[in-house]
Amino acid sequence: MSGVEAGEFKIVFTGPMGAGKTTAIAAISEVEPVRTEVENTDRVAHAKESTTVGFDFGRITLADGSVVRLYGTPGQMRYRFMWDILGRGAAGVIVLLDASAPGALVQLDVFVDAFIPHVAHGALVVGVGRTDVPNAPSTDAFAARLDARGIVAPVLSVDVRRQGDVMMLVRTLVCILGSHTAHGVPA
Amino acid sequence: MSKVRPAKLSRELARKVLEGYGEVAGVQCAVLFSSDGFEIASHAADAAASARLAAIGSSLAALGTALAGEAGLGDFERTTIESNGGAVTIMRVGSSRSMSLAVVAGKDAVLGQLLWATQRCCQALAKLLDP
Amino acid sequence: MPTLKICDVGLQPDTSHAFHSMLTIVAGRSKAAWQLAGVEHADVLFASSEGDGSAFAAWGATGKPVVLVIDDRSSWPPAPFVLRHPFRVMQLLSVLDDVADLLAASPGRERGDPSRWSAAESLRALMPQSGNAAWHVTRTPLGEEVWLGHGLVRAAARTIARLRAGELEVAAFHPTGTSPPADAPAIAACDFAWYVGLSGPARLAPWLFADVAYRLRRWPDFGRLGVNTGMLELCAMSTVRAWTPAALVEASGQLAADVHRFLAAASLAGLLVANGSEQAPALLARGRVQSGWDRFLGGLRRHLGLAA
Repeated sequence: MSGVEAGEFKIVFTGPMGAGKTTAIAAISEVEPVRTEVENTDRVAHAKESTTVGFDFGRITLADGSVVRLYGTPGQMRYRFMWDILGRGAAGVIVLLDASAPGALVQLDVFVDAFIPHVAHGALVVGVGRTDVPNAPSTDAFAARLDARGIVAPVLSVDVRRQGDVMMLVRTLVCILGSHTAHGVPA
Repeated sequence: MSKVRPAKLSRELARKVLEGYGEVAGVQCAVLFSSDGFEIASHAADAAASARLAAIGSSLAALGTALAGEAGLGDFERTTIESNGGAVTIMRVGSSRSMSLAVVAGKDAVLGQLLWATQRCCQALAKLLDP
Repeated sequence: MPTLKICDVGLQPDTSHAFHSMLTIVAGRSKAAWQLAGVEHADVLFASSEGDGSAFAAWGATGKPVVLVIDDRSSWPPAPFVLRHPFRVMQLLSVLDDVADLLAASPGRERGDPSRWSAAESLRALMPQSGNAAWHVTRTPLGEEVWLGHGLVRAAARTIARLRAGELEVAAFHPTGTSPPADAPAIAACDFAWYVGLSGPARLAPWLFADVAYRLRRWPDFGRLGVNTGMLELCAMSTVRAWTPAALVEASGQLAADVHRFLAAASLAGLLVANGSEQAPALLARGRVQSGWDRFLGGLRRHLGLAA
């Protein structure tokens, strides 16, 4: 049973550590998000001071009173168990990546593999940050990576600190969901 | 790998403290971990199991902190998961939020004893941290 | 009465101001309804003789009639449509009627003009080899050079800004032995191709077929290109399944012109494929309509400012 039939709806933001999941949710949530950030002791993996180890939670309330729940996952592989907990029943998934981070293309594979089983309607959108850093792969490189696996999903360059960019990701996801509902061929 | 870790607490001393669980009935294993899910020391757990326990334990501690904060109850102290096969308790070490201890016990353990032993263990670990 | 679009280029502020206010006065008195438009969409240009002669030559090269405003000291060669500064309303009306007569006598020069596809067609031929080291060059109506090569398009920053705003029209690219300035700003050739498609004529591009169904093989990077909701919808629909152009117009409820430009942009950027020419993507098999979904999506779409 899907979350929608139960009157619930959630969008999951995922991606590796430091890609901006907590920032993205904070940028669009209408309430102060629930955070589970703790001190990051692994400065080799990423220089940032804090990291999410449970989940982020924010929400958007619609005019008819129904609520879209926004969840952010932890990024590190050791929290893989949280990915499945949070991914279950998601209407759509937004994968955030930092193009300038080492192995960013491989990270795309990791998160697509982990979350594709959870999303119906092909509702997956990839947001890539810092594509302007010298030698960082372009969004085309990420899209080609998806092409090679036969996946057609939008890859959009974003700055998750900008509310407009995060909303563009959500809008794109909603357009995909709507198109599959209206025009999709039943499986 | 260089990690930013509490310098005062040596792995070896921590492991010695955890060995005290050998005398507590029903305890299967214990793992001391950082708030961001890294194992610091463990007792009677293999490497893979203790790494997983550390990660899940840190999520629960973080969720506990978020929940206690949301309810206006102050800081997270401990949480216990009980199931028909036994119990897991997760307890904060000392007053800092930097580490917690997870202890797994079978159904032959007495919950009160488990909690009491764990509290003592956390106090000993806290002394090592901040003598 | 025909509607004609006019654009003033390179006028001094006071002349431009006078022109704009006179244009409202001639409304209803001229043989045509005159509408202000950007350079790219204008049928007629309204230019000043002041400044750079090469710019005027470039406007002439667009094939659009040019009304030239000269002053007494000007030594400009005679042009077909001339106004002496300062001009009066009746003089402007007379010249505009002459231009309207000329355009009425040569129908089809507007949208049906095959030259309006020339840049897109040359781009289509060059895109597969746009990564080559050889440079090709073209010009805008204002005489700005636009270079294609090495997988990039190089032009002045202001030219690129106008391109992004959909206000740029270029002629066909041709080979050149020279190179652009090394410090000229660059954008990816496929991004340029996208913009050229979006700013093209409203009709279906001549290389697309009305009876062929097309779908997207890859999404454009809207983070880079900029986006409107209409385009998001068209992309989402075109990844679910293939559509003939008419079916896409019908199902999306969007203007045929917008759909045609979207298809032109996607195909120039190499994102569009004819149905059956590639294996259908794996994700598409998952689509299944769920109960309760429609009502929910409607609410979410309204919240996000998408058409319900």
